Formats: sequence, C-alpha cells, structure tokens
Amino acid sequence: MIVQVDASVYDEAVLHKALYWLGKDFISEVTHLNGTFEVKLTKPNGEILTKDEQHSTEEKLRQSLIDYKTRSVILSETKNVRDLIIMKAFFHFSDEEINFDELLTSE
Amino acid sequence: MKTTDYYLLPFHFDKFNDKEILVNLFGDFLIAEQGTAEKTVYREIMDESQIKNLVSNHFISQSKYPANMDILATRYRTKKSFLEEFTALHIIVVTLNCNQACTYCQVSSINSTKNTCDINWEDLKKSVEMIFESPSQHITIEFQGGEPLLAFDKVKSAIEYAESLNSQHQKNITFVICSNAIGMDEAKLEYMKQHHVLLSTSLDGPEAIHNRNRKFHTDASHREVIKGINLSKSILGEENVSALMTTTIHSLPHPKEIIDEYRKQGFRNIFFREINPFGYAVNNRIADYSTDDFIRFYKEGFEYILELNRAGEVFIEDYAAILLRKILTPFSTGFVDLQSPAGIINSVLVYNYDGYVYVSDEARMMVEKGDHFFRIGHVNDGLKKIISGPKVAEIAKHWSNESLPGCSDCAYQVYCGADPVRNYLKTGDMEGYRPESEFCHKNKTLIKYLIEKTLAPDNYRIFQSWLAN
Amino acid sequence: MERVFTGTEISLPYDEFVGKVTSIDKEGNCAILENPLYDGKVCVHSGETMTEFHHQVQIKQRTLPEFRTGDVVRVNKAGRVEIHHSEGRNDNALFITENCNCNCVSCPQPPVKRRDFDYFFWINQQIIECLDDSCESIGITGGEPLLAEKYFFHTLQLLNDKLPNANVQVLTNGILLGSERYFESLKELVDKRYLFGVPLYSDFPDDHDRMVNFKGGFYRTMNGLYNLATTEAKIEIRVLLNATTVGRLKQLSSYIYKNLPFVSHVAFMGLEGIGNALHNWNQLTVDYSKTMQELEENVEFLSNWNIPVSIYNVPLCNLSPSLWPFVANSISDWKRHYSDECNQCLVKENCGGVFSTSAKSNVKVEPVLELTPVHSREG
Repeated sequence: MIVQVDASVYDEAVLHKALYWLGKDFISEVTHLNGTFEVKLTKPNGEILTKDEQHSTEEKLRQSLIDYKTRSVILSETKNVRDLIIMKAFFHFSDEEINFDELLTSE
Repeated sequence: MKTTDYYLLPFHFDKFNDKEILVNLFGDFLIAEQGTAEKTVYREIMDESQIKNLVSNHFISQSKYPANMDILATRYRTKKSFLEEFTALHIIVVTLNCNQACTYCQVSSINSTKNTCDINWEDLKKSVEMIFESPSQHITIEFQGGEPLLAFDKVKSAIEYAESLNSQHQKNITFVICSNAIGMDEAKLEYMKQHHVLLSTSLDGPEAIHNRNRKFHTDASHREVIKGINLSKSILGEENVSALMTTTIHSLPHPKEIIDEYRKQGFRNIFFREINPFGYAVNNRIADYSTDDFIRFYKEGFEYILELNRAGEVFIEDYAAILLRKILTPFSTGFVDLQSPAGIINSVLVYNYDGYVYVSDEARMMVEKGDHFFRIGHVNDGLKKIISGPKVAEIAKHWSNESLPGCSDCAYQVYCGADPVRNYLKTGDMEGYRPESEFCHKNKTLIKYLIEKTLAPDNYRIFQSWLAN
Repeated sequence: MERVFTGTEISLPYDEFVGKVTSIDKEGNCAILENPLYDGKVCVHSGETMTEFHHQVQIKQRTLPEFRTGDVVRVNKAGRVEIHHSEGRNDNALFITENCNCNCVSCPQPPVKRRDFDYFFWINQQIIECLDDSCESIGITGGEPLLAEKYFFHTLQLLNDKLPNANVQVLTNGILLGSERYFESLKELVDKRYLFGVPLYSDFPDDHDRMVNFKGGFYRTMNGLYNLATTEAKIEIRVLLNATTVGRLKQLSSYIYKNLPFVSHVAFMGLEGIGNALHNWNQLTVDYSKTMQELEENVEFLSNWNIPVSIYNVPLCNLSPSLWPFVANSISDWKRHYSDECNQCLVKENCGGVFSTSAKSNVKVEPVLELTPVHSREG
C-alpha cells in the first residue's frame, strides 16, 4: 500500500520515527518528491493487505505522525532547559564554574 | 497566569487505554483526556485547574528560566542517584562446579567430583582488590557459581581478605552467597553468621514444579532445598535468607501455587522472574513460552497477591515493588536491570572464574557459549584502566535509553532501562530493535498495568505499605 | 506608695526590667524578680509597701497575676507585667519583631512597620539570661523573625550558648531562607535541635503568592526549604485549612511528598478568626463537615508515606474519629477555650479546645456523647 505524507507538515525525522514501529510488520520505502513523502508499505512475505487492514494501518500511521510531530515540538522547545537541568543536577561533580542564566539566554 | 503564557518543560506522553498519560523527566505522571499533550504544546488548554496541575507537576514553567531550577535539578539528580557512587554490586564467580542440573542453567554444570573451573587464588585476590577500587561507599560482594558452597574455601578467603582491606577503607560491605542451599551445613552457616553473610537461594515453587526445573541427582531437589533453607533461617535469621524463582513452562499454569509455597516456607515476598531464553533453557524447551504467556502468568499471580494484601497479609511482589518505587516515589532503585544509564558497569561488575572482568552476570555466562563480547578486561588490569578503555566506551554509546531508537520518545522511559547485553544477544548489536524487543514489550505492559492499579485508592494504600520505609 | 524603679544600681534601657521570679510571698502580694546581669532584686507588688526593697514596682492589676517561681517576667515602669516564660506552658517563645515581609490573607496578627529589632532583642537577651536547663523547648516568632537578620542571628547564638540542649522552633515564611547570602549566615547556627515551621498554601505558585501577598514567595520559600534540607534542622510544613487550599489539598499533599520528602512533619491548621483572617473571613472559611473526606484522604496519604501529620486548632467534635489520633494540643494555653457544653463531652481530656480569640468561627462545638468503635480500613 502507498501512503502520501505532506513533507511540509512532517519532516523526515518525524516520518522515520513513526515508521520505526511499523517495521515489525512492514517493509517501508520512502521517496521524497515535490514536497510529499511517498511511503510504500509491503508485508515481508508479499501478502496483500485487505481494505480494512490498509485503512487501519494508514490510520495508525497518521496518528503516529501527529504524535511524533508533537514530540518533536516538545524536543525543540525544551532542548536547552533539559540540558540545563541535567547540567545543574550533576554540577557539584564538576570543577568548573557555570553561569546558568547566561547559558539559557544564549540560543 | 494566562493559560497560554508558559514554557514547556521536557515530558513524554502516550495513549493510556482511552486516555493519555503524560510523564515528566522525574517520573511524575498525569492521566488526562486524549489530546492533552498536544493541547499543552499548542497552548490550547482551557481548564485553569489543568494548567495548575501542569505547573505543579513540572510539565510547564511560568518563566523561560524556571524559577524552581534547583528543585528540578534535585529531582533529576535523585532519580539518577544510583549513579552517585558508581559500582556497588560486585559478583565473584568462584566456580562452575555444581551439584545440580537445572534445566535453564546458562553455565555448564560439572559434576562436583571434578575440580576445574574454580577461580584461582591469585585472580580471587585481585578481584577483591579491584572491588575496593570502586569509589562506592556501599559495596555488595555476591558469590555465584555453579554452586559457591563447593568452593567454600575460596569464598571464605575472599570474605576475610575483603574485611582486612576494609579496615583501611571503612566501607559499608554486604556479603551474599547465591546458593541452592543443598550443600549447606551448620559449620558453613556459623561462619556466615559470624561474618554477616546473607543467603540468596532458589525456590521455583512447590515440589512438583521445583523438581521439574531444578534437578538434583536423587530427584529430591525441593526437599533438600527446603531443608537447607530452614537450617539457614534458623542459624542466620529469617530476614537474612531470601529466595528467587525462575518461571518456566511448567510454572505458567500455577502462579497461585508458587506464591502459596513461598508463604508456606515463611517468605513474605516473591520475585516473578522471566526465564532468560539462553543457555540450556533452549535445549530443554522449558523456555518455550511467549512474553504474553509470562504476562498472563504475572497478572494472575499479582491479582492473587493483591487479594492477600487486602485481607491484611503484607506479601510483596519484588518486580512490582521496584517499578512502583520508580512510578510513585521521587527516589531511584538499585535494581541493575532497569536503569539508564544501564546497570552494567555503572552498578554491577562481574569477576569470573577465568580471571576476566565482565559487565554483568549474563555477560559472563555468554563465555560458556564461546562469546566474550562483554569481557572488558582482566583482574590484573586495574579498574581505572578498564573503565576508561575502548570496550567500555563502545558500550557506553548504547547504554542510555534516552538516546536509543524506540526508547528516546517513550512515555515510560524514566521507569524503564537500557540493556545492551540483552539487545546484543537478541539482535547481534547493542542497540536492539524495539518493535520486536520482548524486554520492551514486557516492561511496557507491566508498567502500564501497574500504573493502572495505582489509580485505585485501596491498591495505592497497599503499595504504600510495600514502599514506605 | 511611690513607685520606684530605676535606682543608681540598675539602669535600664526602655525602662523595663526582665527577671526570673525567685520568690513569692505567702499572701501572693509580692514577687521578687532577679536577673543575673544585675545586682539587686526588683520587687513586684500589688500595693503593699515593701520598704526593704530598693527597687519596687506596683503593678496595674489589683492582684498579682499567677506567677510561679521560675517564671521569666517583664515589668515596665508603668506597672505592666508580662510573663514571657513559664514552665509547662505550651507557647513559650521569643518574639523577634512585629515586622513582616508578607501580609497573609489569614494573618492573625497583622504586621507593623516600625523599627523594633533592637527593642525585642534586648528583651530576648534578658529572657535568655534568666533561663536555665529546665527549659527544654522554646519558640521563635514574630512577625517574620528572619527580618531581624543580625539581631536574629545573635539571638540564636545566645540561645545556643545558654541552652545547648533545648529544642528551638522557628516560625517563618521561609522567604529569606531562599537567599543564598542570608542562608550562608544562618546555616552555621542551626542544628538538629531546630525545627522550622513554614506555611505552604498551595502547590500552584500564584495561589500561594496571593495568599501571602508576596510575588515570587512560593519559589523563594521552596528554595529556602531546599537550603534548610542541607542542614540537620527539621522542617514542618504548615497548611492552613481555608477555602483556597482545601480545593487543591490532594495536589498540595502530593507536591509535598514528591518535592519535599525530607520534611519531618506536616500540620493541617484550623483558622483563628482575628486580624486579617477576620477581615477576610468569607474568603477563607471552610465547612469542615464538607471537607472531611479530603482531610482524611490527605492525612492518610502523607502518613502512609511515613511523613508524620498533625491537625492543629480543630476540636475533636469537628473531625471524624479516624483523625483523632492526629490531633495535637496546639492552641496557646492562654487562649484555649472550652464551652460549657464541653463538660459533657467524653473526649474533652484529649481535645485542644477552640480559640477564645476568634471573633468569627467555622467550628461548631458539639460534645461527643457516644463513642463508636473506629472501624479500621482494609483489615
């Protein structure tokens, strides 16, 4: 089966993460053409999917894409603060002086 | 505070039955309506009390640089506090000799009349010295085998050498012997009592199950083990004798009977351990069950345990207790199989009878099949050299689930762990493949199951009684 | 008879004398006060001439208040007497200042802006001088004691020197503890005998800040608590049971467990209807019968995690019997009150009574006439 994914909405990293979990049941091939990812999913044994199976697989993939997109926003918005929390957590093991305010404001 | 005026803090989320679970960096979780994570990210939360929950549970912050940075850092440090002192658990494999032929054994069982596969004296001494190179103030030295009682002289020697070195280091040391208790006698127990050595033994269930799993030459394994356990308890004290079970295909239909056997023998806790599908287990077909089979077995046993607790008997399932400690409390656990960075090396090191150092128990057992991938050095090398070596550096790239595919976005990441050894055994590389990982499937399922259980107040009370110390 | 106070031997700032009652005459008409820092004794009397004492003060009341030997008493030139310390009393404390950096919606004693650190320090210095080892425990209150800064530190130093074995309970909003600079000076003075009682009104910072009238108060207090956790001092979190707080009691209890697991005690406190609390009564008052389940659940929640819990300032008749084991005798002796009907109550002995000072009250006193067996949960 083939699923079209809008590349302006979902970037490659998001797509690959969503496809990772389908890897148990499907072989996936992705081609990037004209702002769209064309995702070809085939069963390893070559079996053809029923209409229902196709529908449910596509739905799962689409929901997965939405979730991974949300996750990627969290990741990018919180990258700095996450690094800071971890640094501050283990700071007392380091010998350096670190200015945390400075680190956060520098993007 | 305006409901749109906030900054995100790091968190994960996932579908949770017909709802959604959000989990922050420290394991605090919220169960909310589906779509809550998305709404939080896109600033579409309308409910003021939900905003308050998100702030106080550290999902969002009212300022770009969180005003409670100290709290966040402390919470994170607390969750990772098992790292603080580096390796605390040190396993010395004193011999491969054994007086049993357990169906799932991963090491060759050699008749006790032979005397090969004992650790030599020099390597034993060096192992103890290396143990003291670990900066940890709390050390557990665990003797394994084969059957350590068959090399009791070596065990004694190691204990006494450790005690003499400790007069200088002043660490807090716990000694444990992992034994089938069949070769136990009063003399050995008196020695153990004198040196405060704990006993960890194996009890797979009532006689029928235990004997099918763990063969002793007269087929009297269970009887001998119970004799050994009772003798040990009478001399060492009940609280210093513990038992572990392994689940085989024979165990699956009988979780209640196994629990009842533990209760009968005076134990107040049980650890439902899934079999490692390696070693002899493969040949003997006793590992021929799926993770789902094990999960069914586990849930049936766990429901029974909850019933017992509701009736007033405090009986604990250890694996659940470990997970619940991560889920319900701000604290971390010392359980090496569920840590990130992984417990291998950071929490446990194994000094094998062959004089080499391995990253975990499973790692040293691989050697019997000819694979020493996780051999990280020799006891003569010195700990610093081993830890800073290329092998450990390579392993370190795969030992945090924060950066493993399939784990890095997982809602249950903070409750789970990374297991490079298992990944390697299953797939040939330390990264593993999450969609087919039984470790992942089992842990995800059990974590979700337990979280669901905590939502009922009477279960929550039971879990508090297990965890509050 | 003329009132004589200062003589050439005793020269007192503020025209006040603080001393320990060393003797009281048989008729109770006169008490002798002595202070180790001064030679000579001061006689406090109700009117009869005592010519052998050079320093005498006639008190304003007709008869001497109930002095006992050992009490530490302050008397001023005009004859006003105050007992600062009395063995067996449940509220012996050193008052540091009337100033405060907050203005809590529920404050029973609204702050005053006046430079009073040195005045109260002088009094406390005298009080400490008159105390001895028989004093096992003492409080430090205000206003906000930490505002007195070096006077506060000095007071602690004097206490540590004179009473090295006494327990010290400091009541504070904790805000200044959040300042690293401030904490640096304080941490050397506190040890395991110290308990800091700190109020938290909510798990949500803005709600707490609104209750204490200090923007950023929540985070500063939390910082202060984290600083305290690095010392051996104990921490008590005080939760006032009011309309704002009870709505999120579960969230607050959970917040305390997750983020302050090191506290030694949590106290849920009933309202005292005076001062700001009286003024804001409608905003604050709660009906205990409607919130009993929340209270029970959260007391149990914390207690089951091994965080000791107490309930202060709520009489037993207003609480379900399952909570009675947690109730403490918390109201100061001098303002503890029982109604006439309480004489019929079966559990009066164990009850802390109500505030005599409350002009408004959310408590309905009803004597317990029957004791039903308390059913324990889950076997």
